[in-house]
Amino acid sequence: MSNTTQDGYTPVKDIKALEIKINQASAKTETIVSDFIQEKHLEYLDAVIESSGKFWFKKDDQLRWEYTEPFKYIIVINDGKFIISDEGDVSEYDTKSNKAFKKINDLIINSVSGGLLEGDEFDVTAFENSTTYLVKLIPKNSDMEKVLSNIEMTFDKTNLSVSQIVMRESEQDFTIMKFTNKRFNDKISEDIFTIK
Amino acid sequence: MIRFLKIFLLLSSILVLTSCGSVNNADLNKSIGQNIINAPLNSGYNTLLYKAKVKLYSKTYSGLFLFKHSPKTKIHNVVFLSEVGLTLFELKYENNSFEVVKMSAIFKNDKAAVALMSDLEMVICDIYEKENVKLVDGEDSKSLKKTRKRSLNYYIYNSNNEIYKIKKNGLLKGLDIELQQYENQIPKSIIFNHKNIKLNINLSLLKRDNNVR
Repeated sequence: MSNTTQDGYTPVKDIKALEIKINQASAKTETIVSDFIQEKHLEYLDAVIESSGKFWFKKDDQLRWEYTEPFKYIIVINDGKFIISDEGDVSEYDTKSNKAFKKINDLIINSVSGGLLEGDEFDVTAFENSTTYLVKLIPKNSDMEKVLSNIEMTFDKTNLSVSQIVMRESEQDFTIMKFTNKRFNDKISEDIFTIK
Repeated sequence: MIRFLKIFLLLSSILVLTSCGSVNNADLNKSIGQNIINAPLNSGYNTLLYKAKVKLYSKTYSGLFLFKHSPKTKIHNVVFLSEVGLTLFELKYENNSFEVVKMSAIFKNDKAAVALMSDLEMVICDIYEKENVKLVDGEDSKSLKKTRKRSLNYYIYNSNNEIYKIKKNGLLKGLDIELQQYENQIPKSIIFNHKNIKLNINLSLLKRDNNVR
């Protein structure tokens, strides 16, 4: 169930103004380091699959997304390359020549940086309560629509950073990403964005 | 030429039958006694979460396999999802057949999907369904032989009644499944190796929920 009816959310009238505010905050952010908890909900099976890890983001498009529990799995996006390390097995894909990985690349980077609101890939609606903005994105593109029915991003009002993302495949099948211990503009070594 | 092929097939079948030791057609309940041996993921859990690596020809799909079992309804659900949470396919197993609940475009019309369903059935099915099961006494091990859909399936078990190998024999259906590191009757490692297609599935247990509902 969408949480727009919970927690006292009311519609944001001027979405463009919110988009500008988010972009201004994003412009001041050079790096993000954060822990994350991922919950895959299969409600009709009464099942929640939880995993967790840490991510590092450096402007404009460097990312390390690392699962540590209950499995080891790393995604690194760096210099047009999409690198996956699965329990030590490393695969590398070129996002410039691989359309699918380019899409995944853009989706992950823009989710973390808040850039998903830009462009015309989604119909955007927004809601707010006293502490957060909730932005709901419905894909316009039929390829994306086949995978996700909508994405809900929650932004902290204090610093306009993303605190939670819900990727909804259907009403009862969705994934929640919760970001905690966020640190902004820390110095991040280039080594983080490589897999040896 | 056709006659030659028939002779070849007949010889192949005889070889398959004889290579597994002497067949004892005694009543199963008497032979096995009170130890009813069933497919390794047929029962005894609520959910199992395995890390999965599926290698098909030159492609590798990795992700998580969730097995869910309800003893009340006797329904098994198997969900394959990517590490980042997207559902790649979901299957429902009821009355000895699979229903595809959801299948990603990646797997549609793919031989992998058909082979995967057949493989998964081997580890979750009720071996005794339709009672076409016989006990086979080998020199070092015992196995249950089940005939299904023109193939012979052997469930080979040790003295702890743990199935450590499943063999599927039949025309274009060669498959070996190795099951290792049992803990409370559930194998922590399951490896599927196909003989006739380049398909290998490797499952490693991550989490188990025993609260049978």
